[in-house]
Amino acid sequence: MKGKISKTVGLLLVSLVLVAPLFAAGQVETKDSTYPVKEVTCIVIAAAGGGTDAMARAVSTPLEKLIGKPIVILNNGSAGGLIAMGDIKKAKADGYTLGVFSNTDVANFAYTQKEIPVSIDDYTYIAGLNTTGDILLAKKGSSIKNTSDLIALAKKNPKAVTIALPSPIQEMSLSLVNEKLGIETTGVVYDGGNKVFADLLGGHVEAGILSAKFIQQAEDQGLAILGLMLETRLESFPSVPTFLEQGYSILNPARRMLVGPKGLPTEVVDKLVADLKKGYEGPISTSITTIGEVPALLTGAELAKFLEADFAMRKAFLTK
Amino acid sequence: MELVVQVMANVFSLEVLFICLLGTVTGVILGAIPGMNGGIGIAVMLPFTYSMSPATGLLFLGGMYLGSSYGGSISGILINVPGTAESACTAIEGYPMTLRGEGKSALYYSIIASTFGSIVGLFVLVFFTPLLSAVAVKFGPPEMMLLAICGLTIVGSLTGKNVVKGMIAALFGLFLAMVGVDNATGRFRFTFGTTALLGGIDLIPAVIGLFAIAEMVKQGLGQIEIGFDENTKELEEVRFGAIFGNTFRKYSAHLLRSSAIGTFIGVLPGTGGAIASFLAYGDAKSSDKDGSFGKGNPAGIIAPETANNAAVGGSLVPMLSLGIPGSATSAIMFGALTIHGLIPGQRLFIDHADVAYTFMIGMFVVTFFMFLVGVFGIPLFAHILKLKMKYIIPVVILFSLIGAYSVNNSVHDVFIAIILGLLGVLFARLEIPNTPIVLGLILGGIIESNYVRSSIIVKAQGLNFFAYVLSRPICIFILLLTVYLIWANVRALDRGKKIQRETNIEQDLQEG
Repeated sequence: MKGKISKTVGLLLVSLVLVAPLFAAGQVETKDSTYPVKEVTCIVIAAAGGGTDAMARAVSTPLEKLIGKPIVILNNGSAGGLIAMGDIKKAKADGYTLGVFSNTDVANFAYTQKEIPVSIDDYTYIAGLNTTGDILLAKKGSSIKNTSDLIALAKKNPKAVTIALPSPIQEMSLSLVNEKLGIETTGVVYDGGNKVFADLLGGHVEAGILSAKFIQQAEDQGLAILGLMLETRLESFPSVPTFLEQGYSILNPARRMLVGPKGLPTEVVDKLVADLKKGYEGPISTSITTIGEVPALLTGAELAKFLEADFAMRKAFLTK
Repeated sequence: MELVVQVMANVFSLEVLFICLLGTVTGVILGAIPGMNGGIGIAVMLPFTYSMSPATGLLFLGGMYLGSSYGGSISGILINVPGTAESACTAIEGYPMTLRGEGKSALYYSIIASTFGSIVGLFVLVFFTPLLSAVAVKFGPPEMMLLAICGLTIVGSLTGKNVVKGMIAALFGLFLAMVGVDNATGRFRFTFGTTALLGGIDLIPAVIGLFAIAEMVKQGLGQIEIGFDENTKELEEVRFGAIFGNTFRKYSAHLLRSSAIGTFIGVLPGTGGAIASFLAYGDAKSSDKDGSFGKGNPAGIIAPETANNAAVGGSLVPMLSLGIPGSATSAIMFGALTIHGLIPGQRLFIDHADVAYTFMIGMFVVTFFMFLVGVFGIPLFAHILKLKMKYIIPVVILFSLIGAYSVNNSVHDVFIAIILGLLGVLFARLEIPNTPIVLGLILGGIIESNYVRSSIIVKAQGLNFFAYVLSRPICIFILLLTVYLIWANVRALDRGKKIQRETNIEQDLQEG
């Protein structure tokens, strides 16, 4: 008797398992018209607590209210974000796995390493979320007060001026500085902007390159900021001059982007872009400003145009 | 005055007190569960704090940070599985005490030391932040390199009789630190063509593998002759008051020295509680007079536990004053501040003084809660010893695997933990200690990256490397300290051997 019952239960279970895909298939069919039907996973290629993470959360918290389903952030900063970059590439292109990284990240990984092959064509670029750039600043108490001071010092002693970099990715900013100012300096690679900032305060290196989010801290500590590597000044820090206005075309714009794997359905991209546009008129812009970044939504043809020129410039630099 | 009233009203509101307690209890539990730790907890809970007010959110995270710095010692003492790298040394002395039936005393020593260290660290944070942050930035690449080398000298303290085996372990740890990205060039090395090693070997999966998994496999295989299943003595009944008095009577020097070491190491950016506790343990052991270290000497619990909790306050010094987090855990708290639009640094004390001071004063409340949880929890924690090992093993392994996964939300770290766990078992057979491996892994990256930076700076300025190092007063001081530590270690080792010889002779005489 007992055996019979368990057999029946077993049969029931087996049939349930067999039928289950049908239900799932039914869901898939209705999904396209009403994306999203379930929670969306967003892979962030940096650990919790950093700038990329803050940006992802500043966007996702208001955005999940607009799309009507939760956005779950998964942080993986392993190997400088490369592992997560591979995970986004491998994900199913159904709109339920998205990612956040910068144009600088993807170009750097696509052109400089072969361990996990990623290419700029492996992703669907949904939207640029913000705009930022690197700044060049002198150590505390340095005799360098502006760009001409740096040029003069570096011309007198070629290669003697040390410039700290948060990671190998900023080598590009350094090369631009050297090339456009016509000087030779020595880059010292650190692990992270915080240590660069600490060593600038301690005076262990002559100058450093940091992201624009350090402007506030640098001004508090009285460090001289020589220039910003963007086309125009930042609205939040109108006192910081660009290199362009000083006559040096040092431009290294970075945009954190919402991305997905290659071949994301147009409906998905359109839905996200439409909701992002709504969000940037209010809550998303506010939350991005709160974390000290500059909101700048870039989508569609404009984003494609920006990336085409940007990737071409980075490819030329990184593969030479 | 208005500020004082406001801060007090903030701290002693029901909501904030409840959040402090919740954070502390969560931290102690996470620290105590092998495989979990405060860093994981803080990373997981970070998003929940975004909806809290800045000070409340920070105190919740601070409670977890402080609580887990203590909690790690509980499992280290009771089942020889340190929950965190910070409590690796604590287990060396604590577990033998448990085997002697003195587990409760060991736990009391740990909570008293942790509380004392926390208070000193926070006191320093409140009163000496400007001074210490000025000193912290004086530590540039050559200083950090030498400090990490100095830390390596305590390998001698972490090994029993066979120093060579300890060195082998430390060298293995240094090697593990080299796997993954070479940060100076961005290139990969020692990854053996597998993506699993591209991210290098994180400290957390290594600690989980070498301590938790290895210990559980050893226990499961019955390799350990003295498990507490059969041979352990019944837990003795001790009164908290007696241990409390004892701590301050006998070990006040250790409390003070370790507090100083912990706070200062915590202040230096890029270090953390683990290095602090290793150094404090090494310092305590260098004063070992009777060879009782490694066999359950309370001083070897007090020193590291004081230091790792003192490091919490220390690591908040550069974070709040300069905006440079002193440890990986405080880096996550830094993120919690910025999400609210608060930029840590001097301006925080001007623009958001209420937040800064509510946090600082609130941390004392957190310490008080940690003390209460510790003291009243100890009789409960000790119940774990009544469990049979066969029930503990699967639970610990399960948590270990979850913990390893949660570091980067990646299966790679789970494999790394398992492989290092099996290596740990092999090393135990060869009598190679595990703790120096962790020491090497922590210090290896610091030594290498700062050596590379120093040599680039030296080359750029056309100097000689040694001349550059010797022209820096702090470097000379660290070098002298290193020489002293080596000397003290050798002396302690000699003394240990002498005592061993004497006891052998005595035994021979008695037998003869």
